Amino acid sequence: MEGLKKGFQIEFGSFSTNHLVDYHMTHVEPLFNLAPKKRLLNFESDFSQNSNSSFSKNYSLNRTSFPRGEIGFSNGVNTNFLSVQNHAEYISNLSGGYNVNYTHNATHGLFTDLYEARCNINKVTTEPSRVVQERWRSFFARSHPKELCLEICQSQGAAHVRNALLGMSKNERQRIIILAVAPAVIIPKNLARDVYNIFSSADDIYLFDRKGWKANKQEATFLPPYSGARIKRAIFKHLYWDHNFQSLTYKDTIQRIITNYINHPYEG
Amino acid sequence: MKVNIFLFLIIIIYSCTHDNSDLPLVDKVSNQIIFQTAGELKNEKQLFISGFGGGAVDGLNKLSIFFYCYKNLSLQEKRELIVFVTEKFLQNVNENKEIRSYMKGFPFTSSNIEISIEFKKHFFRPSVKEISLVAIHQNKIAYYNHDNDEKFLNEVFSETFEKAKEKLITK
Repeated sequence: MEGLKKGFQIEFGSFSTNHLVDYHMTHVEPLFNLAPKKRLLNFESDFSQNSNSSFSKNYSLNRTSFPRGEIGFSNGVNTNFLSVQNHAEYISNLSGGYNVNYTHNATHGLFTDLYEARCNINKVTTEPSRVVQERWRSFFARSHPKELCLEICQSQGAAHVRNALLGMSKNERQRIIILAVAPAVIIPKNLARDVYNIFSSADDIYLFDRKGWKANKQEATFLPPYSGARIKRAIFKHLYWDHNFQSLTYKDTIQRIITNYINHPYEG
Repeated sequence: MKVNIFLFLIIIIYSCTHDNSDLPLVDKVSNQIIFQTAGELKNEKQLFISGFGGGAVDGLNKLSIFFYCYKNLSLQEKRELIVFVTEKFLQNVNENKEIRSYMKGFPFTSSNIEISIEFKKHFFRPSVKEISLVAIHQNKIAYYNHDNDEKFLNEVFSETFEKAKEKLITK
C-alpha cells in the first residue's frame, strides 16, 4: 500500500482506475484523505464518434526494427495520414532507416481539432491518448523489461502523450523517454524517465499554455529559429509560425536525442 | 484583411488556453533554475535557450537544457564554453535549496545534467569541417559535425568532462 500513498486517483468517466500518479509530488496524502476526490483526468470516449470523422489508429513503417527499443511518434492538429507517414519516415531517416511505429491522431478539421486540443490541454483525454497507450503497452509486452522506448510528439500530440502518461503506472512510465517538439503543453519531468521539450521563438504555440509559460519563462527569451524561418517571421510577423515538425530549427536536436537513445536503449 | 485573420487567430488561440498553475512543484522549481541559467547565459555568453527537460519519476535525477550559439568559435573555445555552461548550471542547481528535497541525490554532478549547444551562423549552417554541435550527456562531452549532404550529425570525438577540464587547465 506504500505505493498508493502518492498522488491522486485518476478517473476515466464514471469509473476509477487503480493508477495513482505522483503528478503533484508535493500533495502526498494517504488515499483515505482524498475527499472530495480531485479529478486529475477525464475521459471523453465519444469525441471521434461525435465529430463524425475518422478514428485514430496505430501504424508502422514496416522497416527494419531496432535490435533494442522502439521509436514512436504522434502528430498534432490538422494532420492527414500522408503527412504523419511523412513525419514518421523523416524520423526513420534521422535514425538511420529504422522502423517507427506511429499513432495517427486523426484530424476532424482544424476547428474541431482546436477544440479537441483545448480539451486535451485541460486534461480531458480523447481517443488518441488511449491508442498511444495501446502502442506502448504492446511494446512493453514484447520487449525486455529493461528496454526503453522513445516517444516523439508534436504540438497537440504532446497533450495526448501527457494524458496517456497520466494513465500509466509508474513502472511503465519509467520505461518511456519523451521528446516533445513545439509542444502545446509542457510535459512535466516526473511523468517519464526523460522528458525533453524543444521549441522555437518563431512559433507562438506557447500561447496555448500561456500561463504555464509565463510561470516558467522568467527572464529567458526564446531561441532564434533557423534562417529561413527567421526571414519569414520578419516578413509575416505573427502570421508565420515555425511550427512544422520537419523545420530545420528542430532537426539537429531531434537527431542528437535519437542518436543518444540508439546508444542507450536500456535502463541503467 | 491580414489584421482580421490575425485577430481571428488570436481569439481562437486564447479560447484554447488554460491555467497551467497545477504544474508539479518539482517542475516549477527546476524550470525556474533552468530559465535563470538561460537568462544568465544569454547575457554572459549570448546563448539562446531552445529546449529543456529532465527526468524525475523517482525523484529528480536529471536536468537538461539546450542552447543555440551564433558565435564563431574555435574548438578550444567550444570546449571552454561547454565546461563553463556545465559548471554554471551545476552551481545554480546545487545552490538552490528549494530543489534539494526533490533531488534523488545531492549534489548534482555532470552525470546528472545534459546540455547541448548548437552552433549556427545567422544565415548559413556551419561548414562540414566545423564542429556544429557540442553536447554533454552522462558525463561525456561529444563533438558533432554534419556530413556532406548536411543530412546527419556525426560524432567527431568525445571526452569525459574531467578530461576536458584538464585540457583547459593545461592549455
